[in-house]
Amino acid sequence: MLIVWLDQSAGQETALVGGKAANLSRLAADWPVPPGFCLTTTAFGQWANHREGDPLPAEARELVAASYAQLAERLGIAVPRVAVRSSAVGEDSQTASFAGQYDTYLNLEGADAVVDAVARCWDSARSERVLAYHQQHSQSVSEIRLAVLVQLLVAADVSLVAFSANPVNNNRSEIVITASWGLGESVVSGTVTPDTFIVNKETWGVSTTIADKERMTVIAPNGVREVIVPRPMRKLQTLTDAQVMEVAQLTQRLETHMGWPVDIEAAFHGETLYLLQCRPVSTLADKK
Amino acid sequence: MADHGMHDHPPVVLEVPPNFPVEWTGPHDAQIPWEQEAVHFPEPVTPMDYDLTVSKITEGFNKGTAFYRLPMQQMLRYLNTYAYIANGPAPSPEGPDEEKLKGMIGHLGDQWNNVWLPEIKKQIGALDAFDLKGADLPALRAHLDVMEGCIRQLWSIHFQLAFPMLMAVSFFEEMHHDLFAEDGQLDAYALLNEVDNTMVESARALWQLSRDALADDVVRQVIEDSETEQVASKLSTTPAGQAFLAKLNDFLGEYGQRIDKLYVSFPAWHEEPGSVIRTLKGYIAQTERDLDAELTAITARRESAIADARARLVGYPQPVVGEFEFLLGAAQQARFLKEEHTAWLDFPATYYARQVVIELGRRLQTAGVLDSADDVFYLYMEELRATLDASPMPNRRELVAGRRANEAHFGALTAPPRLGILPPGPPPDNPVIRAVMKVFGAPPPVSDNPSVLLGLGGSAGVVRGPAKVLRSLAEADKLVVGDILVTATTTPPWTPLFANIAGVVTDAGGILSHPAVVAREYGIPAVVGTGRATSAIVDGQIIEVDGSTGSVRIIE
Repeated sequence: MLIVWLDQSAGQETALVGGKAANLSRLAADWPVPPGFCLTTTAFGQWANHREGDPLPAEARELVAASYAQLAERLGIAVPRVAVRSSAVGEDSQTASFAGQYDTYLNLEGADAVVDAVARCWDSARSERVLAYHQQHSQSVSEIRLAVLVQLLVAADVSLVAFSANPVNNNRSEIVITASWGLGESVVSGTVTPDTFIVNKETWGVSTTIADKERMTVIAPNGVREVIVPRPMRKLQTLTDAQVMEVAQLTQRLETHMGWPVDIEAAFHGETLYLLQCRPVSTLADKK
Repeated sequence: MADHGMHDHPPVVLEVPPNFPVEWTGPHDAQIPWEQEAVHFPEPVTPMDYDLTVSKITEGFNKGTAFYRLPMQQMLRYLNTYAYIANGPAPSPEGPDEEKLKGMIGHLGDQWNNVWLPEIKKQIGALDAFDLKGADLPALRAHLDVMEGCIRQLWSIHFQLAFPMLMAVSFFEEMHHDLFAEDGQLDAYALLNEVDNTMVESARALWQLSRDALADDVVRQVIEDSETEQVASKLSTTPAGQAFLAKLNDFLGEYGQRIDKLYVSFPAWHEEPGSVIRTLKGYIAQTERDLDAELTAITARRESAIADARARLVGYPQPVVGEFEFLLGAAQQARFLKEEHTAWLDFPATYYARQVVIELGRRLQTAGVLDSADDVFYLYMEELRATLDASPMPNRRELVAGRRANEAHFGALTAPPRLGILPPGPPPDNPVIRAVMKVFGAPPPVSDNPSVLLGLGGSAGVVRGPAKVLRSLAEADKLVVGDILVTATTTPPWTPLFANIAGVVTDAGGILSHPAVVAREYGIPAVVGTGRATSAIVDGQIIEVDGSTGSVRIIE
């Protein structure tokens, strides 16, 4: 298969769609993951290795464009904003994060921009730093199996990271949620000090610390950018009490479902809570 | 020698100019930073101005701060015929009433239409309904007290309105600036420009009169060529002129209660149409201009600026967009009310007070107590009451003559802009105080470099030159071309000076203060609101002023 959708069962095959997308596809079955599709490792293997001309040949471009149009139809949005991400086989295993080795393009609109981003992902799979990484890990270049995930980008009102166990003190009866305005980049990269909500799993009591949130990542033309938070919003609580509960419950259900403590990324857009990522907490002392 | 902004240092005591002897009335007055209220009362005020307008304003201000639990208060002194105020901190242990403020900010239009305006109309109605000419003296005497109560109430409403109105604009400007940091400082105001209020309406009406005048050669000629005082009588000699006069009188019937300045001692337009005629002359000279088109264009540009801002916010977090729209709506209502309220509060309060007082003045003149009716303004309210209540009424001519002479004496010199001490440092920084202080100047940012002063960039550009520190216009001889003016603040009498200086730095003032506005007109760099430029900078020091970043560097 050259194209696989996240909500198809084939989407869960790591060999086909890479670790990142496979992970999301498994989640997409039961959780509110933003819809998307992958240009598979098969396509990469079939087309990427011819060195002449376009890194992404015409047939591949047409396929991506057609799938983007299909995504638009499914969403009922004329020109959806999407993120285009590399998803390689070998990423996102239980024991280590391969994050950062490959490309991410945020906020692309229109088939042309999406296709270009996919081409760039394929191109940079052959870049120096990737080669160096694979050398370090004793893999040969021809073993690179790359898929590209095209997924709805949530223009988040509030983004958050949640741990189903407190990663600081290993307390497994605490859910820790950190949240801030806009897209998750500012929360994940640490450029903003987010609000913190610690939820006790036994009592469901919440301890809230509101931070002075100075920066946020917002939608910008052809991408995203980090801007300052307007003064009236800086010390405003980002998640309502009800939203904190909703996130805590999602986090707990994920931990139960997965069987291990989870580190999730999520975002609210209007009333909807989207699950963007779910990984095992890699810093907890005891493993599975 | 510049100091770090936040250090405690002994307050700078200002020397009282020898020509302005001050008798302090309060025990601590000499340790308070007084400022001449040059924004509204640059000229001497009569005792009646002081009693019926100036002190009612301060009273209203303080009722307003109490109403909203704002941690500030205003004090007032009447020194050598000038009004001096000091805005300072006041305790507010529970903190500002944020809920009440936010409620008002969010509903200014409704509050105006449903609560304030009906109350205002009630007060004005009571004053308007009273037949001043037909009343006998005892009735007039009673009405004097009724009038004072109405005036007090009008100024009270004024400040219930003023604080949320000010804050709505200030919060919106801050939000706009935070969201669109790359825009110019004044760009936020482009979204608020507003031309559908009573003040603009009067300008449009007068403009229409000027077009009518231009349509008739005879009328035009008379208005162009005659002295202002002669225009009405010359017009009355021809049929076309009479027709025009009728229109002018219609205009005065509608807008004639306006006054050039908030002095009860100053005649209203319908009593003395000179300023209307002068404005008309100016309008008639502009034969090609289309004011209505310009006003329409202002509205179109505003709508375009708003559409542009909204486009830039597409995809932003919905709570952020929601807050922007809330503050935009509030600021637009505030902008409308900023003009509109003067037509319902400031001017009527002054006008009706005047009408009552001058009618009493006429009666006192008839009774031989005063030489002329407008001598009455040289009495305090208590004195006027005492005069009316005494039998027989005592002669007040000598008292008035002395006060008129006093006013003439002090009116001829420039009142010191500051007395007591210089402000010791910036007030506490919170959004409410920030908004209110925009009227009086924002607190200066703290500089961590002792040779750099920070303030507000009021006019863009960079200039380096010798500083001259002026405590008053009287020291203007110190300036040579190329100097950078350093002073507490400037007011309209300082405007001609700006043609001779290379830049300006002030202690006080915000983005819309006089020095910033005039500096922009003359195209010279300005940094306002530095807090203590006049104490940190010394005559002759070479300084570099950056009006874009709002910083002043002492080069030495």
